[in-house]
Amino acid sequence: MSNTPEPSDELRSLRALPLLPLRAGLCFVAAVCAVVLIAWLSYDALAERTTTSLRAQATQQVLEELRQLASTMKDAETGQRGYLLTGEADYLGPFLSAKSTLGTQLDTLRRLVEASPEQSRRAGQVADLVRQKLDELEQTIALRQSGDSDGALVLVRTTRGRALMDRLRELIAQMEQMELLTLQQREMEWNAASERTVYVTLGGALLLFVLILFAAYMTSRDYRLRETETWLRAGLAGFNRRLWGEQGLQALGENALAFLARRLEAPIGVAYVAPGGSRHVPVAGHALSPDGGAEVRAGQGLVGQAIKEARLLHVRDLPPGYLALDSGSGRGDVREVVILPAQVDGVVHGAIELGFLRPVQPAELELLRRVSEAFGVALRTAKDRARVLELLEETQQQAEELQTQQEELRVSNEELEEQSNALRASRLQLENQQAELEQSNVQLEEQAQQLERQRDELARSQIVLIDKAAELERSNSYKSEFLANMSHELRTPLNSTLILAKLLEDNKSGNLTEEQIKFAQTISSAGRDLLAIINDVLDLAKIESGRVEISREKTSIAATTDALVRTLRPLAQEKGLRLLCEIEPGVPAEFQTDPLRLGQILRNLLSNALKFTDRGEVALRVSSDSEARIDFAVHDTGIGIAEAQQEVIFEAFRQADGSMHRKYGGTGLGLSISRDLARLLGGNITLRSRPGQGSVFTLSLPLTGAAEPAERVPGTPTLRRAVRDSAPPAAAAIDDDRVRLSGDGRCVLVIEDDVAFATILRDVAHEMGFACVVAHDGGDGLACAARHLPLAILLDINLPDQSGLGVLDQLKRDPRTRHIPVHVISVADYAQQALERGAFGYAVKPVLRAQLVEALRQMEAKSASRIRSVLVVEDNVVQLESVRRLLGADDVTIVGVDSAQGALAALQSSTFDCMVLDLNLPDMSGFDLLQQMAASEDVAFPPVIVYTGRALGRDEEQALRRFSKSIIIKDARSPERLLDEVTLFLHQMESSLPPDQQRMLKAARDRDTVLEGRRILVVEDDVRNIFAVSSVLEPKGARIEIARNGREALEALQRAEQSADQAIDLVLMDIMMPEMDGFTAMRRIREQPQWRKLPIIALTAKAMKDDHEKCLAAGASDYIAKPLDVDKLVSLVRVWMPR
Amino acid sequence: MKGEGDDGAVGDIELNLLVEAIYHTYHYDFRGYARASLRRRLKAALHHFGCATLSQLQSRVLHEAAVFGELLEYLTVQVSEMFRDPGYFLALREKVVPLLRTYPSLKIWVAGCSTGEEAYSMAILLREEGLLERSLIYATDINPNALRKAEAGIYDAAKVPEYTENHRRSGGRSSLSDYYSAAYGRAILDKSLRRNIVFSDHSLATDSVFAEVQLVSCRNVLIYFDRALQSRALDLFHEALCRKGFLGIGLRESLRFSSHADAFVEVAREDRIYQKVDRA
Amino acid sequence: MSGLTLPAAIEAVVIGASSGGVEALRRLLPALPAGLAASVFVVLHLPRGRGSLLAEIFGRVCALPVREVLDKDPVLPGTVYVAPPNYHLLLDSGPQLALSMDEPVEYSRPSITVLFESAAALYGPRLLAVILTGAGADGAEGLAAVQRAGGCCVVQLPADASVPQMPASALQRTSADFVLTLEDIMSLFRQLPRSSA
Repeated sequence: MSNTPEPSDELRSLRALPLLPLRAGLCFVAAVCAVVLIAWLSYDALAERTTTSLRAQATQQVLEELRQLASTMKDAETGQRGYLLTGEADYLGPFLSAKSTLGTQLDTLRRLVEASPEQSRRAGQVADLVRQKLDELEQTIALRQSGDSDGALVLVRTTRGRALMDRLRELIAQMEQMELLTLQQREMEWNAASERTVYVTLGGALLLFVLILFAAYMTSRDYRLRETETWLRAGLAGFNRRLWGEQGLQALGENALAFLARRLEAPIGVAYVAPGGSRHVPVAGHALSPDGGAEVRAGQGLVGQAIKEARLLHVRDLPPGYLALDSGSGRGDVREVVILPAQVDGVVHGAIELGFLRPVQPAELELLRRVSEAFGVALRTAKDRARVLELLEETQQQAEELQTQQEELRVSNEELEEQSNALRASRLQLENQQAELEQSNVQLEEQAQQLERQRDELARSQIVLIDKAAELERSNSYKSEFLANMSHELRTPLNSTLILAKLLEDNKSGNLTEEQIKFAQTISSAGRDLLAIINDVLDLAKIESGRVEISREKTSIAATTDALVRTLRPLAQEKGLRLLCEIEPGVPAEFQTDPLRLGQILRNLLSNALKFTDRGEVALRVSSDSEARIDFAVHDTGIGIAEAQQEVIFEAFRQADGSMHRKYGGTGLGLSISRDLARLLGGNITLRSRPGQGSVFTLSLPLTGAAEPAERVPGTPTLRRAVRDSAPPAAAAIDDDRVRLSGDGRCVLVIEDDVAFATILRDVAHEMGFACVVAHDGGDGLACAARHLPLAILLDINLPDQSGLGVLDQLKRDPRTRHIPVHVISVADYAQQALERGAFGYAVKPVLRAQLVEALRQMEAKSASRIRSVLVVEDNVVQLESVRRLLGADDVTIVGVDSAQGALAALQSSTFDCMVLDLNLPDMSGFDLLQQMAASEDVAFPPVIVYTGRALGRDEEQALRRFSKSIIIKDARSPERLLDEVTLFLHQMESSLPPDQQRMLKAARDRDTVLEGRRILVVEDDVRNIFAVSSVLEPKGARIEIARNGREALEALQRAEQSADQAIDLVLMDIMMPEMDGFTAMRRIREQPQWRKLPIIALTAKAMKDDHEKCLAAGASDYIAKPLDVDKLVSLVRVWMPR
Repeated sequence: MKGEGDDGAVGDIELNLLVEAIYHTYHYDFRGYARASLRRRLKAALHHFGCATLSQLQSRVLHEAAVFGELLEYLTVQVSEMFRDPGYFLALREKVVPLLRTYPSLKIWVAGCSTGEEAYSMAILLREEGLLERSLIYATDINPNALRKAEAGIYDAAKVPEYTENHRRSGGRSSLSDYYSAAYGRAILDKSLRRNIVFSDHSLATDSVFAEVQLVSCRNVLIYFDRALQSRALDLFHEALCRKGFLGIGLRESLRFSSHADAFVEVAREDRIYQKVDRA
Repeated sequence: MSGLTLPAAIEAVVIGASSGGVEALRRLLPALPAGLAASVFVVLHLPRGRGSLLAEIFGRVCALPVREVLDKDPVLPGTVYVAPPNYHLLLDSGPQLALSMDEPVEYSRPSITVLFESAAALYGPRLLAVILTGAGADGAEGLAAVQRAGGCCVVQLPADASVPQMPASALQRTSADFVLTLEDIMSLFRQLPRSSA
């Protein structure tokens, strides 16, 4: 009943509603049946009794009739007797009446007994007897009447009459007897019927009584139910009424509690309300002691339990003291407690707890159950309303606020309007002024246009100038080309001239005069001079245009010098000079060089010496002061050369003194050629001299012969991006295993252009069971590295196409190859740069076999180790432990050391993938440790993460950046960064990383910190080149400064020097520039002691060998040819960038 | 969806031609700028130059370099204020600065710095957080005139009260008056702030990344770009940011149009601060 | 009011309001029928430098979704767009929404004129422009642009406006198609076509 069915259901059920409830209906049917049954039974009994009584009556009647018959007969006899005695007719009356009635009586009797055949028969007999008697009587009477009284008396005295009478009497008695029997039977039947009727009546009454009782019970029950329902409804309605209206949670709680307490006569109660969340706070108490009613949470205590289960809780046997009832006069404990959660849709919004001193009635519980939802709804509504109210208030507040703001705005708008009115007034004024101004503006504009025109003209002429300069540059290079090509054209006619002159001079036909012969001799001699000059010029041009080719071979020193001395000795003897040749002990018997060029240089030096020496001696002394170089010194005792002239004599087309070659002959190009050749061979020529005291020209050559810069093959302009995967140079290739690689990864890549050494390396590798691929230049090396992914790489620094350091850098920047250990082998010491760039080891040629074996073994071990190891240098034990915790993982070994010495020892004994370094160490500072690591060659230099609590100064950071790409300042958020960075370094097998991540890592490396924020001075006059260089370097984070020529470059350097953070880190120097060219600029830079070490990379416009030489001579640290190869430029800058 | 009249199709063609002409002649690329704003500004420019149509203006721009110089002032917005949207700076302090502290030196890129207010705000914030001395702020813009003003660091003193209020609400730890001196209706910012700011010319439309930075702040610049250019700019920022670097944009801007949008996570949603993360 | 008829095919409604605008819009916006075919753009002058609650406040009373504009949002039918404080709101081809930080116009950012002009260029005669209560003269210029482009111009009757200057300025500058009370504008809005979908 508490459930309200859906409206449609209700309608349907109303239509189909039975008249009575089923049970009551059945009752009623039973009652009706009972009444019908009783009625029927009673009627039956009654009918039976009536029949019985009627029969009895009939019997009585028969008896009566019989008695009357008997009496009538007696009357008739009596009358007859009287008459007979008296003869008086009066006595005949009874007889006559009897005679008349007797027929009727007999008929009646016959009718009455016709149901019983026996009686009927008797009745018939009676009637016969009566007729006989009457006949006898009538005879007597008739006799008397006839006066025969005696006959009559005689007749009377006969027994016939009396016998008839007795027979009649007997018959009647029989009939009476019979009838009495029947009557008796009828009475018995009647009695039985009466008895049955009593039973039926009694039974029916009983059944009706039961039914009435039942009906009464049902009615009572219905009534009570209805009353309870009414009570409940009234209660619910009353409750609802109490909760009507917009009440707050508190009011709702109070009202609900008050109502329920009064309605249920509960002496005590508490109302809880959940304003939100699971917290239920008491909002109202009824007769509650002040300490009662604390805040509850779902599940806490009885109330909490009821709330949690969301159902009514009725607790009967309360422990004493559970809830105390306080009255003025005393205290008592409540016996039962009902806790009623206010629940809607499964959410409990509050609760009411009521205490009772008596047992709680079920109806009361029902009321409580019913109000639960109403209370819940009310609470929820109140809460919703409160929220809506809040929101409304908020909105209202916001709207009001906005309104206020708008009001402000309006005011300010109005103010603004006033202001704008004022402005309008002043604008008028301004407009007048403007008109004036406009006039002068027009004038100014005209002037400006004029200026602009002039500027445009200037710009145009500047462009013309630039074009001219470029043209000049071009023609300059054409010159060398031209000269080199002229050899044939010049020599051919000169040759014929000389031959013809010789023929004339010989005067075979003898027809020439002395004078004519002298002329011919002069022509011949002049021609030879001319040829010498042409040869020299051509030689020089050839060298300049890079056409001279050097072919190195093992050259015997003694053989070379002997041959020279042999050929020059006649000349010396001619001048009366001693010509000596001394080879000092310790000089190797032979070395790698081009014997022809060596001979050419030495011949030139010796013949110069002989030329400029008039007396004394000329000596060639061969010595080897270091392991790497061999010196050929030509001493003379000639005129000597003034200090100022010493540099000049090497320059082409200049001589110490213009008069000089007129006196001594010669073109003066010899020294220039010699110097150029010396450089081609990787050496140089130096001069010590004093005027009047002779000179010493020293040719100094490398023992191994490979002189890197001079070795490059110029002439073919490089592509902007070198194609890496080009086919290997077939000509120089030695037999390697590149086509036979088994793919098991045990492969070593040798990048070395010296075939002999490469062969040695290959053999060592083979001995150790490695396959070996040999590349002869950087490009092929990089391609092979990427293609074969060797276990280790042996890399030469001096490569024909690019610097080995550049190759190393590119290897380390390629995610595919950066994990491969690279061992660098070089003639010169680039150890520092190589190790910083990530080389695994370093060796200077000549290298011992054992060293090679060891290096390969170490690299193999390194490649084999899969477990990443991290060295943590930290003296604070707690910190060390926390870092260890932070970084620890299955495949990561953490080695912790607490001192710099420990770190060095650890680094010496094993290799690490990454090193985390605290700068504060007990024995030495982190800086010093890093420096020591860099300085000592037997210590590997893993990537270093500096993890320091110290704030770093700019200089400190700069200094650290040389060693570490990653510096983390300890702070609240630094552990996550440390983890991040270490993880990054440990991911060295990047090719196995997902491509995205690889790309990310690559991108991260591209912004290499080496160039980050470094200042590079670009000295270049061509805007396009400036753009090209900037666009390559700036994305790498470098700061570019521009100077348009040498002079500006010097100024820029000077300027930069004034503040530490502006200092130039590296200079890119173009050579061909207006005002001051690159050579001069570099020389001037090197003159300053503070710039001695400033890295300068020369940008040579042409592939002219001589330029390269000159650049180096002028002080360039390195050079790169234009057009620029992006990767090479970046690598080169990276290599030379000081850290 | 075009209306009739001057503002319609012809106007669009003229506008496109003009920006093309400017790009080819002066290498300022406005081709990817949102048209509606551009059209408005050019309308003002037309009025200023007394030109009836954009074609007329184009002709003048092509033949008179000075006209372009003036026009540039119309094409680039120079509206800025210090500590604009204080909530943004507060979020920087609370959510970004703690991570910036772990770097020994910091590089911050204020892209589209206009007249420099934002860059100085950043410098002041960094100084208050004790980070300015190890920071370098690259403040870039395409308008050389604006950059000059930015380098001067002189602003209208009438705006200072508003800036002060903004600064206070941004969680300022000192008084803004510590950083400027006012006189003659002008306020000049402390020169020492300048030491760590590099103002330079850079176009998000044509130039590439120049440095690796830990934080890019580019606010209310993207609104002037169309979606493609927004994407380019955001990709530049992505490229410029170091691993786990931060990006802040304007309050009504979003990263929706960047191909790298999924490479950023929200650090402060309401204040539009994001962090670059490695994509899985 | 039945005498008022709107030109057919209105695709966009632009509304500008200043002082008193919050109240006026809170009454006006509920008149926009659900399922409206046109898009609605609202510029309301507000002091800068505060978070805007307009979308929230109007959203409570309006049958249509109300959004504060995010840069480059696409324009959807049946949506009310509110200009964020301190940004100009413009409409760009697409149609899409664009924001700008350009100088304030008539001392206002967002400016009604800026919105109206860009809307006029984009929608031409398919635009309904409404100027409501306010001080100042913002919007007058923009309404003129709408009129030039053939759009329908509605101005609140100055006497009906809580602050009459802005409608009055608009009427000075242009002859509106309708000069109506707020109630009448509401009825006008109820006539706007709904999307067939």
